[in-house]
Amino acid sequence: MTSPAWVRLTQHLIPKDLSSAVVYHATRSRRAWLKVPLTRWFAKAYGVDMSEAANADLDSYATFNDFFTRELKAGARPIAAGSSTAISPADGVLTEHGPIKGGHLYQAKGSAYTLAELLGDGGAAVDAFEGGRYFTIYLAPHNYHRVHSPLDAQLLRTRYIPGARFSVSRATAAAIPRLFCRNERVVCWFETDLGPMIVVLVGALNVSSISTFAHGEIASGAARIWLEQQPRPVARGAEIGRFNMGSTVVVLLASDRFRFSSGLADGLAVRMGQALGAFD
Amino acid sequence: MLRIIVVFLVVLVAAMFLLPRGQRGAPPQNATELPQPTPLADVRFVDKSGRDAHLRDFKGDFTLLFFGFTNCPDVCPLTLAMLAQVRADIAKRAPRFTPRVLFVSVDPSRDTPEKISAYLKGFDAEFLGVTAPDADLEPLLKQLGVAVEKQHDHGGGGNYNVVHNSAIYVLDQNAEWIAVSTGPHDPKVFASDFLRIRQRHAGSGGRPPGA
Repeated sequence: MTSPAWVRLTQHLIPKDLSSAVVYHATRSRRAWLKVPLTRWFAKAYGVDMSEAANADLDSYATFNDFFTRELKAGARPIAAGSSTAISPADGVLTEHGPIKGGHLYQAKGSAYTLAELLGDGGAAVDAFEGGRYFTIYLAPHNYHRVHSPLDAQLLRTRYIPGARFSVSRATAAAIPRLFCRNERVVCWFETDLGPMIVVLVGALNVSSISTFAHGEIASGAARIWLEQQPRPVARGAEIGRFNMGSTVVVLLASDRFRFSSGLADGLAVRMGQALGAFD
Repeated sequence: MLRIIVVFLVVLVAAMFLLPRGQRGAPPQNATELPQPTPLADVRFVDKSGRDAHLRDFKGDFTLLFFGFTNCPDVCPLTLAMLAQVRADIAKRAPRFTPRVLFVSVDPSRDTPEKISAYLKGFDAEFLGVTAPDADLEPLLKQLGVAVEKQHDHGGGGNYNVVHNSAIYVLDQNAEWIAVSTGPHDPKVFASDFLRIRQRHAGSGGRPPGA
């Protein structure tokens, strides 16, 4: 039962805020009777590879969320060399990638949405991305949940856009139009030596919150904008945020000089640090 | 002695009731109140659903009026995010007093109703939005002192920036102008100022709707 109509129906019927609120509290509980079985069940059910975690002892995490947003061992994700090489910001599946044409991007085959609506902005700053490139990575629940910078960059501003919390799985992305523009999201505007870059952290069902390196945990609620007084530098491969459950990252590059790596295809599993392409 | 104290207290209590009611409540910290509610120029707007709208349609509740355009790089997103936080803050403190926000686009040639609707959704799904042809907006902009200037790119073409101020205008339940805040805005301060203005306005015998 995964027809688009069925997916749409179930997504609209799930009490998404309630579900996320229950998950929020359950995943932050320090009660061992709740945390230990939840963590063990999750690690087993989703086949989490603990051998690459910095802390391999499942039961020692203070909360489920600490386990969920676990750090990896040093060297578990080598960062591809080259300062003009954009790396994958996360572990997950490359769902869509390509040029930005006519202000449109794709969330699934044949299902487009506009850049302006995703970013909640218009004007010259958004127009600068016309002819640029984008790629979208879906983080499944079992994936490593920290998001890293694809390039050496400087954060200029961060914007929280309120919205729904539809699941962002591929079935949902194919069934619900403009999904990423309807979900709550955090838009991070960066400047790089290779042109402007935007990283959008899209919230999803059971993503009870999104955290960023600059502004910590960003609670759901009213729209907010943070302007950096001084551009805030971040190194390629350094952590820029984390999802406190599964989700999607959209990366936008304003330059048309970016070439995707050969052999890159939608549906491919990618790992943080892996080269996704380079600037000419 | 006792008599003096009693008389003093009676006078004090009487004074509390007899003094002009507008004197009640602290004045806003960062906004200016008008001496009396001022009716605004009647403009025929198009709302974000493409229907006709007038300011009189916004009677019955307090409204925060803000002028901008969807291609605005800085002032509008910051001010609209601020207003979203103001509404969220008031919804927590005094839900019945949560004001409406009405965004008036001063860039009618580029801001279609669909564009305004999509833009406002990024801030608060409840925000209302309207626009009107330049000539129709003129009397309202003039009355409120909103200076709008279109700055064209060197290359000509369709690219231009619209320079405007970030003032927020408070309208009462009769859709009449009662206060203005010119910024810089802070959501907590603005929320408190709005509640103060609202209370003082009610205290000064603001005319009931339809009077």
